[in-house]
Amino acid sequence: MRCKHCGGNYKTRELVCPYCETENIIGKLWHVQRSKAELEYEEARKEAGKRISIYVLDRVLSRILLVCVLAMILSVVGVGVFFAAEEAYYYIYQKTNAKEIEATLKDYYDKGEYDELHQYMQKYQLFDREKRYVYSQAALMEFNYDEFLDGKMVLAQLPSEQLREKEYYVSAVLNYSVKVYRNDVGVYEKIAPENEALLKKRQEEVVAFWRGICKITPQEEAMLCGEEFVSYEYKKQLVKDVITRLEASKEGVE
Amino acid sequence: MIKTEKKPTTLGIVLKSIGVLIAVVLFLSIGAFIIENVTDEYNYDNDLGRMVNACDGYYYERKYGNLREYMTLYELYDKEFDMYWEIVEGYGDYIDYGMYKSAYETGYEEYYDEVMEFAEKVKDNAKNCKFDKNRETLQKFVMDIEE
Repeated sequence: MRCKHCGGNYKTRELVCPYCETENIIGKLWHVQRSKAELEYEEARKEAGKRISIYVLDRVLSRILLVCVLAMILSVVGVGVFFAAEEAYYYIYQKTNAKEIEATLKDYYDKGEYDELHQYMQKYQLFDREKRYVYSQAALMEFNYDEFLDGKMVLAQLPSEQLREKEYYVSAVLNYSVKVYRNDVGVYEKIAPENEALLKKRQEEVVAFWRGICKITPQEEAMLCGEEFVSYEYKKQLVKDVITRLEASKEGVE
Repeated sequence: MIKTEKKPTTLGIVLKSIGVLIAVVLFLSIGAFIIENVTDEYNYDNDLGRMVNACDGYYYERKYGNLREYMTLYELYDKEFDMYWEIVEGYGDYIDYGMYKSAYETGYEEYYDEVMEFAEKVKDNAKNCKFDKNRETLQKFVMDIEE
């Protein structure tokens, strides 16, 4: 701008003319407005500083939520794909190795290796009511029988003072013995003629277990052997009675 | 046009935090489940040492029933476990002998043949023992039934 006093040329922001030192009203006004603007800016900045943390927190939470949801979707899809691929593998395996599968099943069955039969059928999902009823039934019978054997052996090793504390073992072994006797194998319950001898043999073993180890009475035996539903209360009482008898017989041996 | 961001409310932040917490817990649970299953399925070899140790624990405590339970649960039928199966089967025959004998002594005379059969089995198990570590225990079973 040009000084009104000396005609010198200087910047509008200057407070005085650099040549004649005459006061510049426009420059003073500019400085006042600038100071006011700086104060306002400072106040606004402080206010924004207070608010900024809530925006940042909101954004961080949104990102975490998004990442977690995406990761979960990916995991679920991944698991689904994995199981679908597994199913497809077993389906293809069954289709392409049909003869080999039947030969293996027959081999295990004929040799009486029912445990291996159960594992093989479970591994390749070969249970089938239509095509493999006999093998499926024998394999499931083996599952119950195996649990019964486990329970029988654990029961035999338990010292008499631990019997009451570990009542569930007695309960479990009695349950499985009934399952073996009654051939409780779900949809494969109707005994196949080929498995009749196997069932009979196992029933005899279960009865010997009831008589020899559990010392159950003929009335209790008739109840367990029959087709009548064995109630929870009856089983509970039977477990208590069996424990008392086991304690007596074990203490006699010890 | 300037895009303005809506100011988040305290309630929104609280709800979002709960959502994040649930999502993180779910994500970690799913992750842990997948990792556990995959490692269980494919890291059998790494677990072999641990399983042999567990079997050893039951073996030295003479808990042959638990040993059988453990081996059937984890399907341990490899040759590393033959020694444990030998004692488990020997113990099974010994238990069956006791079971039939007890039934016979209770008055069920029809079990005489089974008593004899399992007595023979217990003796055979000791005679045909393949693992030296089992020999003493199998012999004890024989001594016990001969008493």
